Amino acid sequence: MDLPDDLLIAIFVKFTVEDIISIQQTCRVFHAFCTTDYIWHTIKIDLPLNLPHQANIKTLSGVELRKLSVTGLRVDNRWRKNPGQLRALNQLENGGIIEQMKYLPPKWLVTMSRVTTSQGTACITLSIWDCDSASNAKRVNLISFDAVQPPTFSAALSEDGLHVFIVVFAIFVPRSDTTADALRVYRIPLQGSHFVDHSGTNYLLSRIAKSDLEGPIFDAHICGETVACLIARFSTTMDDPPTPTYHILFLNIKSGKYLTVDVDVPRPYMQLRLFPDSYFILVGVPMKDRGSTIDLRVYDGTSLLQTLENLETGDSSASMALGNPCATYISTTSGSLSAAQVELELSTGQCSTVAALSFPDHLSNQYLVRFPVHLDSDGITRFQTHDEPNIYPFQKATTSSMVEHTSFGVSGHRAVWTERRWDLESDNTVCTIMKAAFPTGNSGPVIVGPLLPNHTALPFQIHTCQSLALDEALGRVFIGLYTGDIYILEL
Amino acid sequence: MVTLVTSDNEKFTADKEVAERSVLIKNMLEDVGESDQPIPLPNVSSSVLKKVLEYCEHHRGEPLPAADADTTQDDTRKRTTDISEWDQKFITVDQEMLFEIILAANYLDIKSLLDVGCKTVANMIKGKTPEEIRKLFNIVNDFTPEEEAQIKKENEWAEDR
Repeated sequence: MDLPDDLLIAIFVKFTVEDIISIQQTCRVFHAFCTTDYIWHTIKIDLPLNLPHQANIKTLSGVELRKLSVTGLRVDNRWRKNPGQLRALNQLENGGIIEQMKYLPPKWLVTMSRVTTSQGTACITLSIWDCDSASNAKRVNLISFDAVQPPTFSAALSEDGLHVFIVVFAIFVPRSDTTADALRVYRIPLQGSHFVDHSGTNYLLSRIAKSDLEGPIFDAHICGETVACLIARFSTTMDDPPTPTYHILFLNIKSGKYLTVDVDVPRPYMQLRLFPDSYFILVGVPMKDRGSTIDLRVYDGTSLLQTLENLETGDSSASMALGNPCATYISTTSGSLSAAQVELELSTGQCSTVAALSFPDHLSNQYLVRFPVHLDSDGITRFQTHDEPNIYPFQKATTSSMVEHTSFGVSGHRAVWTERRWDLESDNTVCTIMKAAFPTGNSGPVIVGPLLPNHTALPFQIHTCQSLALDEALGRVFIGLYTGDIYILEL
Repeated sequence: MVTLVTSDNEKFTADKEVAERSVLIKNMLEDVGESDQPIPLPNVSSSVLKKVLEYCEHHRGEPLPAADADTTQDDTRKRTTDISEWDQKFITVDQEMLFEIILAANYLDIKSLLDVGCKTVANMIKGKTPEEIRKLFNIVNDFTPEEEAQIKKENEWAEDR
């Protein structure tokens, strides 16, 4: 290639990551070319990378990006193999029942376990594990508290990466001097503190009492310093089945200020997710025998969050309108749908995709929805409102099986789930862990298959799985068991 | 009509609209004003100019990309390696001609043609191993065996490749 440098660069920036890695191995000149920051900042890296917390591609050098990309390609290659091959297995001893887990890249696993007390309440423990090395994962902190019923949590790393914010929502056991909390926000340090917070109050940052709300919290999600909660309101006249109306409460965890917004498009079984650059998404799922659509609406929350920030201290709450969605997707499936489960994981930035995954039971078709987004000149994610989302349908292992637990990678490239079905021959339930690899570009096949080959010897029973988490960038699957153990499977 | 003179002293005439797909020629015409003077193109040979004019003729009338194209649009254009059917047929030439076209498109400042040329090279190496790429472009391996082994080890990502 006897071309001047500027033309070589013009050609090289059109290469894929794989091709850049190949061509830099051909000769000295190309090796030098292909480790420059400019090349790595300009080519499209459509691959989940295990980037340091808060780092974006432009802040890393060409050499670092090449290393991360080689690791990313290795994981990608293994993840696309069918069935997968177990390379390493490690165990964490936690105790209780592992009810829920969440992996926070680059290395943190948050687990919630439950022990039923003699009084019939639940003793909840939230633990944070450093999983930098799976064989040497350490619990760095934990808190525990009592609850009437097992709560649900959402977690996020603080901007400086030194704390984890955990939002827990459910009805808590009232202490003598307080009313019951509907929601609590904890700020838990990741280092330097090793005592058990049995009261669950030392790290408490913010709380909302049940009496302050008009109804139960259906869903809550944290992103950055904002928590969004979906609150249901049931009318006094009894519908059958009762259809709630919803409103969203946005809470700034630092200032404690909040504002509420009415949701004018109520759907049963609504879910809510917040994500970077002020967007949030609402998903409505049909109720049993009530039609067959799932609708996803993306809203630009910039002005809402600005209003929240500018609230006067005396006036701690305000009310606003939701406005029109900036992107929507409405799926229509043939045949009737029973209650469906929607798994949402949203991410922007690196891979510039937004994804949602749905598992309507009794249907073999699942699908991934990616909304096309782009970064504007200020590095803020923007939705292409005029573009249709890309839809990737895929199948469960068996049509008759039930999807139980799902976990979906933050960039929408990979997913894992467990399926349970009744095996007539053995007259027993059979559980399988499945994995999917979604195409990196706009087209290409979705690769679905068992995570592990049949009859892989495992030190635990898959049917004791109670929760799942996925480290998408490194291809690690966390399996939380009914027995209190957590296993880390590496492909 | 515009008259163009190649490095091997051949004269080509083209419609002004066709020739002006080259930003270089367009600027030259603007500078000299209305004149019948032939325009010398000392960096382009007749065989290459013939191809380039064929391209410009086919794409005449299409809007030219703005000089300072919006960065986001620029990004998507830069990244996709899709080439239209006609362009693909047009660019199916030997390697020497391909690089000549890229050089000429760069010199004459025809962005869309440069883009087609660069994408074509990117498509040629897609999925190839370093050894296959060396063969394809006659690249001399100037690493020492130790260096080569080290680089290979650092970059190995497909165990079964």
